[in-house]
Amino acid sequence: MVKYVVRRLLQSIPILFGITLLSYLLMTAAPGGPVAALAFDPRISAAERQRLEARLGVNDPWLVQYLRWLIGDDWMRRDTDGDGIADTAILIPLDANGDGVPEPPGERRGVLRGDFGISFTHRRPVLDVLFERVPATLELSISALLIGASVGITIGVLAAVRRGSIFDNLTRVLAVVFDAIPGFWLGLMLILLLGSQLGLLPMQGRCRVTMDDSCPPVYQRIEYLILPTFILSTGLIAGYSRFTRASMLDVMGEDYMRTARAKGLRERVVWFKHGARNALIPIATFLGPALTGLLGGAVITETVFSWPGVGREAIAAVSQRNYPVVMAVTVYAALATIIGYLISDILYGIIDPRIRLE
Amino acid sequence: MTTAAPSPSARLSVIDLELSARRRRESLMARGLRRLRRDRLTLVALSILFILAMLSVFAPVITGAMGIDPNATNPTQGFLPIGSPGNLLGTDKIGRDQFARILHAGRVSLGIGFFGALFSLTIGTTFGVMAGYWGGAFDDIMNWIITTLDSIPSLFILVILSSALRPSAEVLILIVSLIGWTGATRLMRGQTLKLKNMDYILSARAMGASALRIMFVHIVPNIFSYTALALAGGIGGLILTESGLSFLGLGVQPPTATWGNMLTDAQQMFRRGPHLVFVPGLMIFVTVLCLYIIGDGLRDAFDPKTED
Amino acid sequence: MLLLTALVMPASAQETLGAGEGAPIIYPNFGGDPTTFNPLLVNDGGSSAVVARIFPAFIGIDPFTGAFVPGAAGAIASDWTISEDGRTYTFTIRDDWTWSDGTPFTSMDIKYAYDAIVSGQINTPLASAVVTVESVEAPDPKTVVITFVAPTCTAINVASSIPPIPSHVFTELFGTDYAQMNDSPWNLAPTVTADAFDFGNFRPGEQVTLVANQNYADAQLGYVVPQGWIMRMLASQTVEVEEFLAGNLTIIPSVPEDRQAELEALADAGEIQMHKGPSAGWQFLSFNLADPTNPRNGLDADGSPIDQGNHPIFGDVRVRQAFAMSIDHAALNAGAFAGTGFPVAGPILPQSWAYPDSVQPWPYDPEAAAALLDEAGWIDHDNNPATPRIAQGALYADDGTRLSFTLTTFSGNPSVDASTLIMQDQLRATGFDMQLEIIEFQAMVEKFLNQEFDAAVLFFGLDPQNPDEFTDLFTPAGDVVGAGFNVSSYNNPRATELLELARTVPDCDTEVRKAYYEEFQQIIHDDLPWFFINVSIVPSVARGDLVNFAPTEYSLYWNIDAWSYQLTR
Repeated sequence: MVKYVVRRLLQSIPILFGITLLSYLLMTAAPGGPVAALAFDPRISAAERQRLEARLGVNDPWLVQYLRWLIGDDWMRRDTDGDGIADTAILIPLDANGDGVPEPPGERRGVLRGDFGISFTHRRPVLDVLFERVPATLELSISALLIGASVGITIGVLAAVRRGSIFDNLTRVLAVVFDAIPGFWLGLMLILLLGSQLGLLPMQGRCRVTMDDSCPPVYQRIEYLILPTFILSTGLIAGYSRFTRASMLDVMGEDYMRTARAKGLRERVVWFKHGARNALIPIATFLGPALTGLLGGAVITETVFSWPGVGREAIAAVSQRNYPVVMAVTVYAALATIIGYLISDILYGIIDPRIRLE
Repeated sequence: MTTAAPSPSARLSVIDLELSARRRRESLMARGLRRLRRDRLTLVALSILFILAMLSVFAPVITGAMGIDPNATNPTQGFLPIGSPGNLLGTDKIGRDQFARILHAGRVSLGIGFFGALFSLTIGTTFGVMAGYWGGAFDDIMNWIITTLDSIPSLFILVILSSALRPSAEVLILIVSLIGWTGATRLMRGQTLKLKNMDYILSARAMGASALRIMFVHIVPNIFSYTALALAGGIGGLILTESGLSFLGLGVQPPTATWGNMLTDAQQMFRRGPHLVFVPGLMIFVTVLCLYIIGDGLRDAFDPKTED
Repeated sequence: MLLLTALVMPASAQETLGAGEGAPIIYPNFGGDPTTFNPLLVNDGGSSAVVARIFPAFIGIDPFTGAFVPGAAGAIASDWTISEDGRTYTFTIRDDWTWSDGTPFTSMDIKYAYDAIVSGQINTPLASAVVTVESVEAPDPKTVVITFVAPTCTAINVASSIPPIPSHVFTELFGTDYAQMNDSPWNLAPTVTADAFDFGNFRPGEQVTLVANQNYADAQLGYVVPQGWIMRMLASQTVEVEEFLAGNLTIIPSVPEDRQAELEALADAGEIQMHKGPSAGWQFLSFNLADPTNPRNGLDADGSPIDQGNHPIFGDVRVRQAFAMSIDHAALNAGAFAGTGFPVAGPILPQSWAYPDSVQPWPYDPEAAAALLDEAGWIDHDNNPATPRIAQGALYADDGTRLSFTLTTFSGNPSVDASTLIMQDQLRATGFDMQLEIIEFQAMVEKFLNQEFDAAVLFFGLDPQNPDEFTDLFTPAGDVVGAGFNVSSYNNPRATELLELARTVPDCDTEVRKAYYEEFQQIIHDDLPWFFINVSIVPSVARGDLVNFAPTEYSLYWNIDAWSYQLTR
């Protein structure tokens, strides 16, 4: 098992590498750059914009930029005589904006040496920006996953048991009904109805507005979680219920079910003890994709509810061309997904002894 | 998911095998249709979708016959309510007829969903069957590419691609196909692996049939039913994706109407024109719901394993 | 103008509360977190809103006249004198007020700021603002001497852009290694401030909290009423209005156009307070006068003009004028701006001291437009006004060229979408074929600055009281591909000269300057490098029970320290 995990993790290294290369290429290919986003103001002169460009290093070819991101630039532009002014440069020009003064020596050490860089907009280490957002996203994803799985599986099993009945048809429709509405629109409508018209739930954010710097533990502010969790779990409910229902119907044809029935066991026992148990095995594989889906879906949900999570920061970073943050989020999401798939494979092995991980 | 084991007589000749495979398929098809006829929910969904699709396909003919230009502005006639004379579904902020725009938007939204899902499946089937049949280095490389792409949340790639490529409807179809093909490839690869060692394929190979012939004459038709199912599910998902991208400001840009961007634009005006929020939302909802129900119904009907 | 009339509802007959007894002022923000609270580095709306509440100004304005005055509330310059030659300004620093740690303000607080700005080491947007400054000296702790390169009438505007910073803290933290300031943690947790509020805390993605500073010397009532000021991060304008109506926001500084009528009704009913003033920004259309396929700078390295080619359609001023006369502002206003807009003649806005009444917006006159197009060699060859005209003897287009061009603008703004669509229909009637290219903002900005468009619609505003800021927009100095804002490649030597003249009037006589700006406005109006589509009235609203909400035409927040309403709960 340990061997398997290690091998899987080793395999994921080239995958991660591919992801970052691809993302960097796409991101820098997008029209517009961080300088226009940071300094689109007629009061800022052209020379000033060029200086900012040089300082951020965004006028280098994308491959050089990628290298800087990956392994840093402290070896690209160096100060060899110790006077604090750069005098040697490879790959990048010594004087990037052509003002006759060399740019300061490179300070970035690159991702491979644990340096994710400085966010263009926040002027803070990227990992600080990212990690202060992670708890909020986890809070939302986990509650959505819990609700989605429990409600979805229940509906799926019940629908399969009563296949073809009115109940089946009703739950088949109900399970997907909320998932068939665009999330941003459903979110806004619920904010308007439950938040604004009826005043039952808060409309925005994660904590009460307070003068002090405190956000109470999650169980004291469940009301803030209700709407975003609901929106985020609709897709999961739909997915889980349909998957479970199909899986149950699959299991139904198996010999052991006939045997159980032949033994004279009560129908309910047959269904739940023998059927559901086996039907749930494939659902473990659903965890990985569910995690990825949550991270993606959270972008819109977090935006609608002004939830201070990673997804909202990610979309802001893309629109501001904040390359270091975009890259960090990409790596974070990819890691989360790879680990998600790994966990679901391991779970699969644990639940179903017939499958051996090697 | 495996079909029943081939009968011993099937080993006699490829022709026999093919015949029996075809017969089995036909009986599955017949049984599926019979089941489908009894599934009223799916039938209702199919009818609604058919009507919506026809309205969208013939949108220019219909609005042309009514003498309405979906893009003609009329600033003094903004926010007319549903049922206004001459404007069946009212008008938007700048006086464009909402009925005409909904029909034309449906063309784009359904078009993105249908062609996006179709292209994903075509790419996915091609690569999936090749990877599954050939295995080896080709399979390994495909696997690596797919795992890489699948490890980035798709909405995230969508956002990056859409800001890089400025989507029109056509570009958006391309983008969603580029992202959607991985799932289809996985599915088709799995099905091919199952079929590849079936006797009739082995015999075909023994008879000297070329790899391409085996793949596209013997395998692809046999996994056709999965393709149809994936298509139904895919269209609904893509219609939602299109609206989500519009919400993030990265979808198809005006003046081209889609249900997604009509809904996004209307958000801020929900007090002055509630019908502008309601109608496109309802269209997306009904369409996607129908597609989901159809997908489920088709799977039920054509799944060889489920009992009657 | 009638539109400028302030509409202030009488606040309910509540008593003003005592020091720190009022509920916190809750202020909405969307479109991203503030990024820095360092006044030298601030470059976005959210950050500026916070900085304005916790840092003083160098020179302040009178909220009732909009003019810079010595000793204005919240500013540290108590007085200044001007040298004979008009180049040297000597400022005196107040001594009746201190930084939040008790350290008095000194002249170093200005000198350090200036030195950091011009060092080229910090990411500041202010460097361009102070290019006309030759030196800033601090001969003694209470005297700042600013010398300008040449006598200039915008000296006080320029000086006021230098923000006072706590130099005793900055010296200790950064010394003269200004580059360290860029990524300093101090920027998001300023320890020493000086205004009506002190910095409290910042929860990214959620809120910024400021607490009342009862040592604020310029408090209107002698003390600060609200216990604090909170900026909340919200998702959208739709939610912003809902949160306000639910009582969760104290004010909305600018009400979205589509909700104005609704809020106005509430204000009329006395449930909320509303203040109306014109926006400082225009929605405008830039024509590209040069060849868009080969954008070049306006001037070469020696400052001589470069031949930039001509735009086949918009190179001819008559076509631009015909364009302007094809636009019916009344219809645009009804359809796109919810009736809140008004047309303007040129860049100088009605709320500016320099605004000339004499220059009027282009009238809507399709017949005159058609005649002008005929004269310019763009003819209606098939006698069908709805089809595009074609060139026959036009100045810069080959015969047979269609009168067809692309309008580039940014996505996500409903007013921009609506107005461009209506304009498209209006222009069709005079024979223009306008194709729309609505793209993501960053992509649009790139195309705009690179001068690769036919016509482009954008929205922004400058300081209405300082028309000198138009220099980068309408003179060859700003015609720098990829970086300057004279994207039209407009070059009228007289317009350039007028800005120069108005900046250097001896004694800076207001009437003389105004005359120069009047001629400037007339030239821009006639030459039409930019067509000013619309300016909107943008109301701000406040809670009905907010006492002392009394915005002036020039300042919404001048007495924010006296704003008072009861804490509920």
